[in-house]
Amino acid sequence: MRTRATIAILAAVLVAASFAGIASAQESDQVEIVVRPFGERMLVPLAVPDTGYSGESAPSSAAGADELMRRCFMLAGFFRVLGPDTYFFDANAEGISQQSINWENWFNAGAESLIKSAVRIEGGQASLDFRLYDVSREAQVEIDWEAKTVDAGVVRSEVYDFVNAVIEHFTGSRGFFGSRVAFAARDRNGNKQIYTIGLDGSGLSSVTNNNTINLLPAWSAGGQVMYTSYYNDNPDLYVGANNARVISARPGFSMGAAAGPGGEIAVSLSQDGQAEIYILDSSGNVLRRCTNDSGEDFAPTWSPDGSQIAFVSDRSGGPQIYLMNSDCSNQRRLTFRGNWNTSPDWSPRGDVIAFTGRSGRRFDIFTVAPESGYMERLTQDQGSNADPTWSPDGRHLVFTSTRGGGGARLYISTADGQIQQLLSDRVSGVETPAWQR
Amino acid sequence: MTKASQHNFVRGGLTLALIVASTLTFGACNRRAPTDALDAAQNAVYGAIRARGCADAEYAEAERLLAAAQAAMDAGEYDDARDLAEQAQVQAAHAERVHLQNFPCDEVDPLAGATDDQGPNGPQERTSSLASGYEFTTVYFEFDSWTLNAEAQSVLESHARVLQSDPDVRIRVSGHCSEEGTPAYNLALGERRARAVKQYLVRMGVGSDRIGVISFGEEVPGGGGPSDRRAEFEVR
Repeated sequence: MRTRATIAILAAVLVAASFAGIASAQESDQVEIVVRPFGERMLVPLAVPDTGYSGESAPSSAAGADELMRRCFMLAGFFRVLGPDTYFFDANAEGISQQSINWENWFNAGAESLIKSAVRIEGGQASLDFRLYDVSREAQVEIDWEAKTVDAGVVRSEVYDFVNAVIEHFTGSRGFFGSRVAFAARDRNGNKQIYTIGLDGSGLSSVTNNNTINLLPAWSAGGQVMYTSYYNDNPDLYVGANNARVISARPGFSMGAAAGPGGEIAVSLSQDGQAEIYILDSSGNVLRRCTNDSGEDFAPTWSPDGSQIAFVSDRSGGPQIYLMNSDCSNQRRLTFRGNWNTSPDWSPRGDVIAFTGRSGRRFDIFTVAPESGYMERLTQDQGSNADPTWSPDGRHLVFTSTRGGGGARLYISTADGQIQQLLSDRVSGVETPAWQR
Repeated sequence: MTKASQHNFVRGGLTLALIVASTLTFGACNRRAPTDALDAAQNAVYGAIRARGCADAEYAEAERLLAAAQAAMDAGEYDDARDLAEQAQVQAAHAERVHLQNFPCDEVDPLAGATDDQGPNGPQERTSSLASGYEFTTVYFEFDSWTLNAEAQSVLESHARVLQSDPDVRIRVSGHCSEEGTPAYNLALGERRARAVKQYLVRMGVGSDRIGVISFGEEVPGGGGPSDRRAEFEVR
């Protein structure tokens, strides 16, 4: 039987510092933990020693499984990853079987759980054996991943799958590794292109590669990237790599598309003179026009059940987050704090909407509950932070941040904002990330 | 945003922390916060963002100075904040100069795109001048505004006279914004600027069908900061 550790990860525990009422940031060598006055996330100490490689020399696609696991577990936000630099015995001396493990060593190293991994390369095939052990029980833990032999070219995706299964064991639902984030960034010709990148910060690839401006990526119901592009000298809405198909080419702009659960696309069109929210079918035909007011209405995002849409409107002055039913009825203002709130993204869990708010001279990430209007702040005093986008399960967010200098970079955060980490230092000057879901 | 609403954003212990921090640091320093200097520095640094292309290190230094100025400001060290803000402004201008000297540069850029695909119509020759030599000069806007000020209005009156005297000329007005704000908001703002210009020209008697509009949002900077907030003209 598989034991699911309904562990203290998600439970908030009072921190001794809290009664002083002073929030401070602590740093460990692995993750950046923002200590909040009312609790701290408990991280599972997880030892991830080096992978044992055998057989022929590993091609680059199969090498570094250990490094990849450590990086993924660190980014997941549930673990304190103990790598070889944190213990002082030769972990390579032991094998991956239960009998070969020196449990006292791992206990003394502070590990509660232990990953053991072996890769054997033979004739282009990779035999993978990855295991999760419980150190206190000195026993292997059964998870939803089995040892297997695969093409050496797909080892990386098996590592993601294993990591996701370990995360499922500890938290009840699978991790997000293997999914991608689309974003826009300037190329060196001064144009702007759409790219995607893996959630471990690897696998940067181009969606557009043309001589014009492409912006505001989003994911279509079919898993392709939609974006606005000036490819035909007007900001029109396209889907698919390299301007594969036009969804909406109308006078004015077609921007900020959001795919609904029923296959419709909410989008902002300026064909009437102002930006108005329209609902299109997947071919781009107008199903209905939602807004008709003196302000600009844009940046729609669907509730997970498709019954409501949140969007930005400046009908009352500065931009604010509004709600409406997806049949366009019952339009009402949701945010009343701050004078400049944009870029809403409705959590797949349904309970909150993340958005970008201006706070003084910078931007920060906030959430607002659609039912109560209750707002929470996720970032503060760390550069300018913008354009939050939820993971498929609503447990994490990606956003852009200028913290650290050198232009805006992609950061990943737990939904409560407690653990915020740089996703990739390879890409900067990024904007408007959109998580595939 | 008002001070009160800013504080509303800050919750729980953080508010207390800020109050404690401010009380501790205000005593010794200049009490006037150098918001002007910081705003000017921010405009200069954000306005020079293209310098990232061929003067990445210089631009990063400008960003670092700006961040340091902001940190000093947050800590109540106003004299330091002002100094750093001024340095950031100077550094931003320096970065832009280096960028222009080095441009086009061949640095290895993981985000570099290919250039051979020119779109279906190829590169378009754009001009804002007529055969007569008349130049449709650019008009400028205030921050986050699409209102035409007196200077813009007088430029547009001149443009309108030329358009009326030559009924064959068609133009396209493109609205642009600075990089503050978000790309979607700025696309809408750029459209508002272009339409405000069109509306004014139509009111001056130019046929509506002779004036196209397009928004480029914040996508095509015009030199940084205030010079980005503009409407340009293209003779079609």
